[in-house]
Amino acid sequence: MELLTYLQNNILFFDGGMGSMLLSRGLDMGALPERLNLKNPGEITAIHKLYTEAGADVVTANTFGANRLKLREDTRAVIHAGIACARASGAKMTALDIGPLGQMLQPLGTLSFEDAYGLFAEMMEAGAEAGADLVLIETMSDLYEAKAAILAAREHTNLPVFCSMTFGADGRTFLGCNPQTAAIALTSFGVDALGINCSLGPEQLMPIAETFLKYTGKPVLVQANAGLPHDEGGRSVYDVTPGQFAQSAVSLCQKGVRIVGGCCGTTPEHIRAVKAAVLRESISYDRTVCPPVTACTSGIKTVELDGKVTVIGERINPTGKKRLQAALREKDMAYLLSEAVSQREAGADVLDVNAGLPDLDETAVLPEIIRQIQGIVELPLQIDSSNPAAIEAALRVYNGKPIVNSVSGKQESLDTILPLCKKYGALVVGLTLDENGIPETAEGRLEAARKILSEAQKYGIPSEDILIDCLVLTASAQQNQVAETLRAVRLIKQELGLKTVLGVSNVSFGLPARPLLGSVFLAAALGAGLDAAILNPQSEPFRRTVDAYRVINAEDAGALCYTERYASLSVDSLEAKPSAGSSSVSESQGGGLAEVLEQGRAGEAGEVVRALLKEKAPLDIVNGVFIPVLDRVGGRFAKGELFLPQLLQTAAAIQAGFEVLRGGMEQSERACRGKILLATVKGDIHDIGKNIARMILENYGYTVMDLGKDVPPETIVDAIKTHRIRLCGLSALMTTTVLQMKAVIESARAEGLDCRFMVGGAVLTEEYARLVGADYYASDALEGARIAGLVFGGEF
Amino acid sequence: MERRKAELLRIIGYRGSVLPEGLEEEIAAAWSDIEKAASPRFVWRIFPVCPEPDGIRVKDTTLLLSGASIRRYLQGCRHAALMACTMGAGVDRLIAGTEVSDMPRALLLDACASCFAEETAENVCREIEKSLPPSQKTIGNRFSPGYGDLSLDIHPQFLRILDAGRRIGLTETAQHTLLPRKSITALTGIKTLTEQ
Repeated sequence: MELLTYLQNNILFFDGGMGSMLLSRGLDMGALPERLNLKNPGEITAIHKLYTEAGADVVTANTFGANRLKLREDTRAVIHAGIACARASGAKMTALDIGPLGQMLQPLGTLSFEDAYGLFAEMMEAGAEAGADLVLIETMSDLYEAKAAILAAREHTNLPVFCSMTFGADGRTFLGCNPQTAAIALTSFGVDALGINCSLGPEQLMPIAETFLKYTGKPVLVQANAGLPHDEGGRSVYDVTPGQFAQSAVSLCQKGVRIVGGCCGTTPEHIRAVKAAVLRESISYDRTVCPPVTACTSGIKTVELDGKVTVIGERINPTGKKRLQAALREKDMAYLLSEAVSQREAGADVLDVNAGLPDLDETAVLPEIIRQIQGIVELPLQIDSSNPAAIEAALRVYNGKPIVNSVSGKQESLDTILPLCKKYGALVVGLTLDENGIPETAEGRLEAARKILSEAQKYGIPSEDILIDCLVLTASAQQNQVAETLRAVRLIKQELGLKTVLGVSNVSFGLPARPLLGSVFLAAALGAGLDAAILNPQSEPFRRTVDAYRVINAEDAGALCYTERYASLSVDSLEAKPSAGSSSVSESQGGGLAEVLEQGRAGEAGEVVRALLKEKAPLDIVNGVFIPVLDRVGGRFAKGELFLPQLLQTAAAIQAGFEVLRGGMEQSERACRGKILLATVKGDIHDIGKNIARMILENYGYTVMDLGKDVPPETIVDAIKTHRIRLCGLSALMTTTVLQMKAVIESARAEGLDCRFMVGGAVLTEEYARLVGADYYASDALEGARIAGLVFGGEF
Repeated sequence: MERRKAELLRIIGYRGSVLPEGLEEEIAAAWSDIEKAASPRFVWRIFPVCPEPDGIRVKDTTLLLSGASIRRYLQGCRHAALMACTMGAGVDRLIAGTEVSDMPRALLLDACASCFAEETAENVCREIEKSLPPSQKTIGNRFSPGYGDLSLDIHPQFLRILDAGRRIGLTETAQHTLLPRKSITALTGIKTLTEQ
């Protein structure tokens, strides 16, 4: 590509601000500046011309916010006109300018990734049709939105794609993405140049630019503001003069930046000064290449795998886990998310996510749980599947640079998985097995790894993005193979310089005291140079081994973490029998379950329920303890003797008790009280009230299907139909979204569904409830439970 | 501080019973977590306003504020400040993440974040007040889109005028819900004192 060759030995000059130029020429604030492309093209071209005359190589078309959310059916025409205005200036090149859509993406917002992609795709096609020479995606603060735009550009045009994000004085974007994460992830998304723009002046952007230069080999772009704006008589004023701006541009170029221009508050004078100053200086084009880094990211966080142990949490994998299997089948996201959160709290660096169950549509479920987990946990994820379609679906919606687990040395696997990793940008785990199975010797596994490496390189996947899994076999079945795996780790690191990963839990399968064997194997593997271990981070022996190894490996500088965690641990407790403590708890509590629950001691509830299960049937515990406690606490809450956090503490304790009971209860027993559907209606993203209602209803033994927030009416009505729901609770916090309740209820009634509706939420009143056609108004969560009692004829 | 505590207790449903043991500490811890997760940002601008037959015109902008409520609120004002503030996405993330593992705590965090947003908005209004020349004065309580009959439909223009997306990362959904969630937009009327 010509432009990219040019960039190898030249600085590319962009233009400066457009919006600030328009405002200074009298555009009313609040208007959509892109409309001027049609209304007053002469004015727009005149501004572009000033920049061209000032020496800009590229002018940026006035299309920043030209998307369908703002311009509706005029989108295409406005973009066509915008590109035409830019080209009429006689500039060497025209960039199609793409800014944020103006609505926040899920999970924090309501715009879906697919809708964002579609909106961007329309802009990309229009820009390419009109003759843009490149795509500039800029001022992004959400990495996810940037990904949607980049994918749209790459799938709907053949143009070079530049992408820049905007960082505040705290070094993060508004959505919390740091420069390291942005540089690594944007590079992996396959952009041709990346960088930073807007928000700060060039001096303040210097350290951020340095981070970009460290973490990408691609050309880096900087378009700063003319300083920080301040307000003068209702107008933003920028202080950095053209001369000062140019001096900073020279320093940036000397550090390795290849593309410079300006953002808000910069004028043709700034660009003229920049170009003159940069061309006067001698710039070295041999950019010092930083050592490549192996790293995965989420949308806001990076985990580097170099020179340290990385813990990959294995708990979100249904193999052999009945509770998780049930959760996946029932779409019980709350359980899945709590597994994710507890692994993070136990110190996992990355979470493995697997949704492989024979009766589950993995292609639909895997991306959905990836989305949900990314909404709650900031850790990078490892997409774990053997189904290429599911891997692609998950890669597409993933925010950041994930790990794909896995490709094997089988040709079919290599041919399908590696192109996906390249396209979406991912680290990939390569299993050292091929058409003949797992090689018995370390040398055989080395050869398999070598093949994976060479195939990956054919697709342009760099070696630092490959992790080799040397495969752990069980000591009970293939004892001699355990040492061979360790030898393979050493050999592969030594011969190929690749990172290694092992699923360590396997080794102890079929033997007693599994944590003991597992943790000793882990220590040996770390000693052999293992980089990442897939394990249960909540397992204390694993955790201790990792913590101790981090001291030995000098990762834990001054053994600070180790000391903090273990200073109070007595040597005796390390040697104590593992089961010593637990039985005493249940004995001492005896019949005190009600007290534990009333006092909201969630940490003890599980243990006490477990003890009680020896004497009582699960349903007796529910009816004899849980519900009377809830009634009592609820009554005191209603009287004002207790308040919401206390009620919730009791609810949380009962929930912990229920988790224990679930194991002992049959599906039919659990379903007997009735199934209730809950949703926060479309357009509304406030769901804490609904989540509290869910908790209380579950406490009373109802099965709750929670559709989440921002749920379209048709999804709710479909679910009522499919699951034969008899009671549906709708929540809304905003007056503007209350009407969505009416839409749901009317459409369910129109379809003749026999379902009652209860509604709740901050703005709801009896009167509103009647207005939207609801059967019941639930003023709080306890009222919701009372209503459920009425509908299902149970006792309350 | 006492006011903050009272407001927090009101939000979490306290109705005069004795404070349970440990709650004050929990509230303090939640407050400090919210302070850590928050990146409060704000933006404001003052514009001349003048009544027109269809509403109050905000000069130099496209904005026409219609309805009886805003007309009453801005009666006698020759200027108005448009302001927006947000606690940032980190707060939303913290609350959503806590809901999964600890609902009582999530509720406290949510209440603290609401209070924090409210206090920030009050501080912004004070800053606006301070910026005024001696001849001008704000008229007290602020007025948000959605109050009375001032439609939320003005929100897109309101946010564009303040360049709120670019300046403080504030956006809204198609139904005009502000995002990040703990955010406030408002107008503050400014009166010019009659010359002595």
